[in-house]
Amino acid sequence: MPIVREIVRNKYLYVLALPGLLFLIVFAYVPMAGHLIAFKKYRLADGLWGSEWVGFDNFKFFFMSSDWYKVTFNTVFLNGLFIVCGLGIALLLAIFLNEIQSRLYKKIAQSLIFLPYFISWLVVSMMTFAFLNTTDGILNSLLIDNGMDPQNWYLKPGIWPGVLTFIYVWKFAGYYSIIFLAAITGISGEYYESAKIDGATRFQQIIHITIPLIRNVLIVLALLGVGRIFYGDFGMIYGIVGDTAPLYPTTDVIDTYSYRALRQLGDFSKSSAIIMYQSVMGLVTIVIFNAIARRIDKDSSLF
Amino acid sequence: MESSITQAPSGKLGRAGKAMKIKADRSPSEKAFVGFIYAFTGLFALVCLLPFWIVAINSFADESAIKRYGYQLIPKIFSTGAYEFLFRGKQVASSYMVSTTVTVAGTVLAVLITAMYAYVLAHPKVKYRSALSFLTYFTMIFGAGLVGFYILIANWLHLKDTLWALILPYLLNPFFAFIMVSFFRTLPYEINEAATVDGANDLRIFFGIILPISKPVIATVGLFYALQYWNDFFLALLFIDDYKLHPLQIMIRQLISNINIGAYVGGSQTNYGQPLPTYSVQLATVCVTIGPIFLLYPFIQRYFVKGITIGALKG
Amino acid sequence: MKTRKSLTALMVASAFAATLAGCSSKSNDSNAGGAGSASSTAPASSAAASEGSKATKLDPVTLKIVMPGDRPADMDVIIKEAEKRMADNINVKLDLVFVPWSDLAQKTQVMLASGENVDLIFDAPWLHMEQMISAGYYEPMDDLLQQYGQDAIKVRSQQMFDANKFQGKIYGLPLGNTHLAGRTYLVRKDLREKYGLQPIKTYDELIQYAYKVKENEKDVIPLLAYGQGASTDQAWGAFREYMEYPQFIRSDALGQSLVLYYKNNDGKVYNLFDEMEPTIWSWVQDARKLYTDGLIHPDVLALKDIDSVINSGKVGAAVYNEFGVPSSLNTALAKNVPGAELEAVTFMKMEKGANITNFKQANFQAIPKVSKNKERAMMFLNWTAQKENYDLLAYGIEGKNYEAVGEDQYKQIGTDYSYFPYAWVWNPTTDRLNAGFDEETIKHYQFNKDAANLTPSILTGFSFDPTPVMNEISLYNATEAKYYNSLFDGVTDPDSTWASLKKEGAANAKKIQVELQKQIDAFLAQKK
Repeated sequence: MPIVREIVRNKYLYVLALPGLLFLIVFAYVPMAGHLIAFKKYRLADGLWGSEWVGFDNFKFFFMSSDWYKVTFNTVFLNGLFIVCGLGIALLLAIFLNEIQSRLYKKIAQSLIFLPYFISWLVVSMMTFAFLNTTDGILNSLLIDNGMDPQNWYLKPGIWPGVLTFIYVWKFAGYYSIIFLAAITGISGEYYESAKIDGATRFQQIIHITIPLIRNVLIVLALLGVGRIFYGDFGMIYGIVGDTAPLYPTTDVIDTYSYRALRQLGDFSKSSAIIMYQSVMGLVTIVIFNAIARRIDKDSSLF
Repeated sequence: MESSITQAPSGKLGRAGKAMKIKADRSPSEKAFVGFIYAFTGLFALVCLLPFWIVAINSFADESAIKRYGYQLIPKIFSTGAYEFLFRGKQVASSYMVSTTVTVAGTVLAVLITAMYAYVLAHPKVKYRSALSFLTYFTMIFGAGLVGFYILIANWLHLKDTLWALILPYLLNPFFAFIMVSFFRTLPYEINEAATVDGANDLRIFFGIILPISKPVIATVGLFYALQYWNDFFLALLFIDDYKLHPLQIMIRQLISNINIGAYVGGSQTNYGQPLPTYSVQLATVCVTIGPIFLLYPFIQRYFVKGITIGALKG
Repeated sequence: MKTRKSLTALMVASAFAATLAGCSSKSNDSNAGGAGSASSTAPASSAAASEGSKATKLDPVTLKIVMPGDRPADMDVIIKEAEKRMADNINVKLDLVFVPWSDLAQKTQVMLASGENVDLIFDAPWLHMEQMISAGYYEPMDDLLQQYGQDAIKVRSQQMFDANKFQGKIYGLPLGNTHLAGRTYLVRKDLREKYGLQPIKTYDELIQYAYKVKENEKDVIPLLAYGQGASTDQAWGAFREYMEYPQFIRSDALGQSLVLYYKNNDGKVYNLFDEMEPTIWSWVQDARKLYTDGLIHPDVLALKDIDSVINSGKVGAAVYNEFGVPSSLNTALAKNVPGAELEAVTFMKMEKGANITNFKQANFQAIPKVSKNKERAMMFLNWTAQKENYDLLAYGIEGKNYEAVGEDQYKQIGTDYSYFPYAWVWNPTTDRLNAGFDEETIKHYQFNKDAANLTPSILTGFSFDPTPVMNEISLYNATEAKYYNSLFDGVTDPDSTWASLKKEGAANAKKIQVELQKQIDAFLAQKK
């Protein structure tokens, strides 16, 4: 048996992995069986196994609507923006911070960019409103001071992908930049020294040393995000946009849409069906992207 | 030159450390670049600081001042009313205790388990690492069903109203595991081979060599785990009914959620006459919860600033 | 994300919970024997019980009760006192679990689905009462009420029980202190007086006042209504339904939507997509005019926390779901804007029979099937119907948390025991009104406490089973969420908004209407 042989040969390594494996089995795989109810008409009295199979009935409410592709698009589009801008800015921040000579400046800047991570969505939402509201919002006050007309921003869906991306970058760039910083710190100083001796400028060092050496971290982070690209960030989007209907055309994601559609019914099977849809789509996406990543660099793929 | 550098030839990792200070090139374009770096990071830091400043300082503002003038850079009237509201009762002290205990114990255990697991996923000798990675990643996409999870913790493991219910479910976060995997993959394999030749087994290599040189990533992931444990309210919401064991976040969530009752009870005919926590209370909760965990950060930072080079270790 | 992700599955739950339910019903039987014999000699009425119960003392039992909100600071004191009073009769200890409002639906659902041992639980039709009942989590309490709940029955009107059955049975003790919910406009009294206007008696006077505010106050927006979430009945135009006669009443199928409605108490379901009701359309157009004139708050659809906008002093009048001005609002307002004061204005009629109601209540206490202490849970609910016990649980310790004003009013002292009787004990008989209310408000309350003052709806006791049209309802809800509040708050052009709503929603609404009518016809046929 090749499995046994492999385990015997690397027994110490498998011992190291054992606690983690046990954890995944008990806390992730066992409760996963619950997703079965997406295909059932669940009734407590009948139990999970006894409940009637209904095929794809629970998916109907979503795919019968004229909105399902719009909210799917919004979800992917917003998440795409978040991944690209979030990781991009975080990478820039980490690289730049690494280049800064002044210890004090570096430390302070690093601490500050981490601060927004702690501000809850509730407070973010209040601040967004304080900034954008029509009557005494800061932005409108600025517009008026400069002789322009105030705008009703909460009736303009067009600006909101930008607003949400800005907020996302603001809140998470510091968090992600820490990962990049840790990776950059792991790069041997020797590379830079020999580059300096060769007369490379700082910019060249970044392009030719730093970025290539943390590329696989970047790709892994991107892949981690891509797998969940069909999951909208409910806490964030519902927290900020709430039920503001005029903004739905650009901000309504799968999670907020199904929340509203099912709010009155509270049907486990239907919400499970939505999660099925998101998971399967995510799985397909990640398998494709992982294959691409494998082609670029074997070390950067997830699996 | 470029190509040899980008390929990260591990064989070249020879002599170590004595970082030679070479004066940076002082060409105008270099200066401009440095200037840009300072401007960009400075501006970003300011964009982060300003809202936080507003949160922090207005948590000390008098409620009526916020209502009348909006958020101020320097409040017109100061008040500690928000904090008095939060700290009334004995709950806060015990909640801090619970949160701290869970965070410390959880972080230590989680980092250890995750590092061990990630090391195996990253190890080239392990034949099934791809399959293991996939199975690990799979749990990120297909989450556990809520009720199944609840029954597991409450009915099978009998962890309700114990601190274990707050610790165990977060011991291995696939996201953090993969961060570690990607870090371990950058380690030169020679370290491993050299040690194997010296007769060390994989356990000794991991604990004796790999862990010490992995401080940056351990610090990072440790910080993230600490944040996860500290900020969690979800496990406490589900599994802690005994209010004496409530961690900080759930205590605060109860106070805060009264504000938005209207959002959850749409269509009710009842006026839920709760005393409304105020704007300043919402801001104060941010400061109260951020405190200890944020103090931890500068302590961890030195691992990023100082940096540990593999070369230095070998030399 | 975590929470959303997990909003999913049941599963192993089912089988497990079912077994649990099986076990507990067995143990119930044995329990019931003991408790039953005890209760025949020791009816849980306070005075008698304390003397004559020594011989038949019940074993101590701890009831786990799930409630919404935040644990009051003095909760332990009140529990201690209550347990002391119960020690000699029903011998119940209380384990109160408070769940944050924001997580109430999720947590209670999971607790029930996992078969956790809970003895009493708060639920409501706006939460997930019907779903939990049809999933079989709750014990019908008709028999328990008859046997152990005579006092709880006495303090509530017969209509309250008749009207709040689900599938023909009582699944929860109705909690309510009146038979008709109050609706008011909160108006800035100080501003009205400043302009020399008389107290507002009609909607037209309210609008005149609003225009005065518009002319005179730069920083005050005249009118505010709700524009978020499920509170669609409180959009400016839709809210008028509560105060105009003859009444149009929202149907039982679509939450707070007016698209399907009843009128003339004739047992028919009307559909606005079939034929627009001129009165309702005039409300929409009026709201549109008010919005374009700058009277309704420009961000009405984006505001989440209405109360804090009201008490910031930045609005002239706002809609509200209560007869009086909550004292917390007036206190906060006066603090923010010295000299400012709110008054409650309602155009609801106070004449016998003018208002039609189906006597539905908003809140309930239910006994889960898995409870091992069903009899004792009912005895406890019965115990809370005693005046002095009600006072303790509703208002706290007299002299410390509240001050009694006569027999039926109270004044709260401090904030250590916040107000939440609606979650577990509310009834129209022993309830006290806030002594801070004005005379008119108190009159309204007292008037509507008496079921005889109201005209019963022909549909009293009817409950809609949404199962056959689940998909249509969720689709329709998603459609309506896009347009309804914009329409009734006047934010977008009425004609085009209505056209979009009709185009996307009419087909689903029709199916729901047909199903609702079918169920109503069956209900009415059975009634005769």
